[in-house]
Amino acid sequence: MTDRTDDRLMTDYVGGDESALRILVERWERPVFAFLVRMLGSPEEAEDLCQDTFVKLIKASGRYEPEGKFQSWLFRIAGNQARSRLRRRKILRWLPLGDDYDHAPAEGPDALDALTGKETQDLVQAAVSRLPERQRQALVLKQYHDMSYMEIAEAMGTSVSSVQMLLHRAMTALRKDLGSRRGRS
Amino acid sequence: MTEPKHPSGQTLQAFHDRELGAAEAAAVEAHCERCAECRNELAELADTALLLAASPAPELPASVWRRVRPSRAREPRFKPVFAITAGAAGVVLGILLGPVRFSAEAVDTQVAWTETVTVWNGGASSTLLDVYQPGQE
Repeated sequence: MTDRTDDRLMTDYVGGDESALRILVERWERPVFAFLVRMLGSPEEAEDLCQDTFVKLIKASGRYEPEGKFQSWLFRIAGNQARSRLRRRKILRWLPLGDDYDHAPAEGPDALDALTGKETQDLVQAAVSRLPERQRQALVLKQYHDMSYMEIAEAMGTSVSSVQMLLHRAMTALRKDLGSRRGRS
Repeated sequence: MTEPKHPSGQTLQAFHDRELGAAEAAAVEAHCERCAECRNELAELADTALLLAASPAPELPASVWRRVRPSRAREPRFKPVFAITAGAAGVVLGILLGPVRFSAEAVDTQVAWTETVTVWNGGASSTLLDVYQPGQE
């Protein structure tokens, strides 16, 4: 029964089938958690908010319109949770790597070549976490959740052109931050 | 003939993300075939995307299902308190009504025992019944 679509599962759950909700939670809890970690930088907070996201989903389930937009709807709830938490923390830029890392942008095309894979991953994650909140949200949804511009726009409550602008700015900032591995010819 | 102006950064980003319509994508592709600067721009976008993709997804320590399942939320949380209150009330009632209840229970027990033995042994246990008939002890 796990081949049921998200919309079908939501409809079944609203109709009283609790097992449908369990399938939905188990299908989406990892992506939601990963999204929240990348938004907040804290696995502990992300786990709490992942739980809260599904609690809110349950509360709002009666209002869900099964129009094939479950992922956008779910990530809108998760995104609101993350942004609410960030506002509460009054932190717009999270620096997850402590003082062992130099947060200055890497310089030159070969700056990343000298780093190990793990160091590169940490550096990239730190650079992502330094992006402004909405740029980060758009980038994470695109790069890690493979959502279309339209889906991201729905998840963020904005327009496709706004998403395009956010992504362009995010990628430009990341390239500047990380340095380019390939020089212009 | 002058080269048409470069696509904007946003357009190149959308081209890289395969978000352009067919006609616009074909125009950008044709431009990039002639323009090394835009080709490099696209290559840098692809490199940055690869760097991002190399970052593994964080692992969820444990499923959140157990903590969000609605049936658990619907379980009455006052249950233990209710049980303790009911138990205490039962003790008080037992103290107040104890003598009455014990007398009634004694009669009930005798009747119940007799009925049980009668059913269990059928007509063949008349000796046993005779032994336990009330008033014959």
